[in-house]
Amino acid sequence: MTLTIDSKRCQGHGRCCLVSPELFDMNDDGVGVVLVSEPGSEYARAAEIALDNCPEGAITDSARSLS
Amino acid sequence: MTTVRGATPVPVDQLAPHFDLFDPVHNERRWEVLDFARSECPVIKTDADDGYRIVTRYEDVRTVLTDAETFSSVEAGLRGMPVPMPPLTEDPPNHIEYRKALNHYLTRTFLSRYEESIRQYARELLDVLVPRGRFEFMTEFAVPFTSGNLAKVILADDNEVRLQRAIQLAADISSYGRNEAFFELAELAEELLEERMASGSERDDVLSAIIRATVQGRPLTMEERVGATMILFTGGLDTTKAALGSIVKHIADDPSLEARVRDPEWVKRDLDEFLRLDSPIAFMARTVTKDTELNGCPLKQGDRVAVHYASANRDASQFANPDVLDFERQRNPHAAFGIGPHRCIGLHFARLQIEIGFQELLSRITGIRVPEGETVHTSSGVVQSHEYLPIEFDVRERTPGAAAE
Repeated sequence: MTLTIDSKRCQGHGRCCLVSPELFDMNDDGVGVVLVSEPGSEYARAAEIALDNCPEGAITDSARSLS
Repeated sequence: MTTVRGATPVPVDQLAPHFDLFDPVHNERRWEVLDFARSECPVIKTDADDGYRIVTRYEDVRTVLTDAETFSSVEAGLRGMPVPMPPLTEDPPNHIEYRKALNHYLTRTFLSRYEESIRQYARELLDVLVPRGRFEFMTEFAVPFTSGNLAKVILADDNEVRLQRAIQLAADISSYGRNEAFFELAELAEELLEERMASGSERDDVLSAIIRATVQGRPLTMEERVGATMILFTGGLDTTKAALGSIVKHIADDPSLEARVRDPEWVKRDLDEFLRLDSPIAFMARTVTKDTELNGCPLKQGDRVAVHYASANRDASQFANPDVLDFERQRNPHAAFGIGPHRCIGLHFARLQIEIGFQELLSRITGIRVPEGETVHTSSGVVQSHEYLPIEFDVRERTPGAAAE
């Protein structure tokens, strides 16, 4: 699993760092950043919650095929 | 849902062209007018004030908010601003310079250093209020709580007397809309900024960041510094208060919600749905910079546009069953904090205060209700907030240390 945030799509809602602070934070531009880009399986649930919560669909997980 | 006074209510299609966002009587029919607009004419033209458009659909609100070149924020208040308040009243490229200088001090990570002080303050207020068995939630808790937290985080004044005065002035602005209080607070902010600059002390906080900030390679003028301090302070005041009050009222109306808000996960899971349904800021304004078209509606350079966040948040094409709380929504891209570059800079601070406020409140009380015979008063205009919200409740047995888990 490789997590990335599309900084062009990110609108700074800050939901990723709210729901999964172990994986995400906000940088000083007010944009979400990935703290652990290749998290182990113990983070699978946290990653999934963040992906589902991003209002802009800006977070991508290489292991999850997007529609 | 809408109550209409008088014998012959004006039909909605006749009210819309004169719909005044600041008129308390019109406000009672706002959802009817906005629903009508979204389905029939999404960018309505009203002759209220000197005439403006109201952007009502989610997608259009998003378009306006993400196109700063066509829609300028320089007059971001529909009826203007008392003073320029950067970064709210800035466009690119200056806007992003302000935000870069300030964002860091309002991230969740940075704000965590204030958590204990926010919690302590909530406890002090509740120590006095809870034993009374009932109190007026807005002026007795929400206003002092948010004013105090803002003063401590934004001003961080070591002078306790002046800090208390700032809290009182903030409460005056928030509770009574006292205009002079705004300018008195601005004077206080200027005095504090001057003192901080003269002392030369570099501190790791908001005020020092405002002093250090530059735009286009030059330091800010004192007017800009005061404006920035004031928007951070006042921008967090009515909004956080409104959210606190709205959630308390929902719990009073539907007691099953208490258990939901007691669950520590609620801030992550449910808070945004409360904010979607009752957006504290109903609308902000933009000025059209060049002739353009929005969803088929021609706009001329200089036209004023009200961007209606609360309407966008009830757009059925974006949110199914938009008029009800539905905590099961998949993704909730609500516009309560705005969208695009001007999205609320204090959103993490607001969420933190709401989280701590409810943790402390619900650790002390249960069964919140509005006393019989009492009527809740709600404001109209830019901020949608309960202004008078008396509550009674049952006091919980105190289990020491339980509040902080």
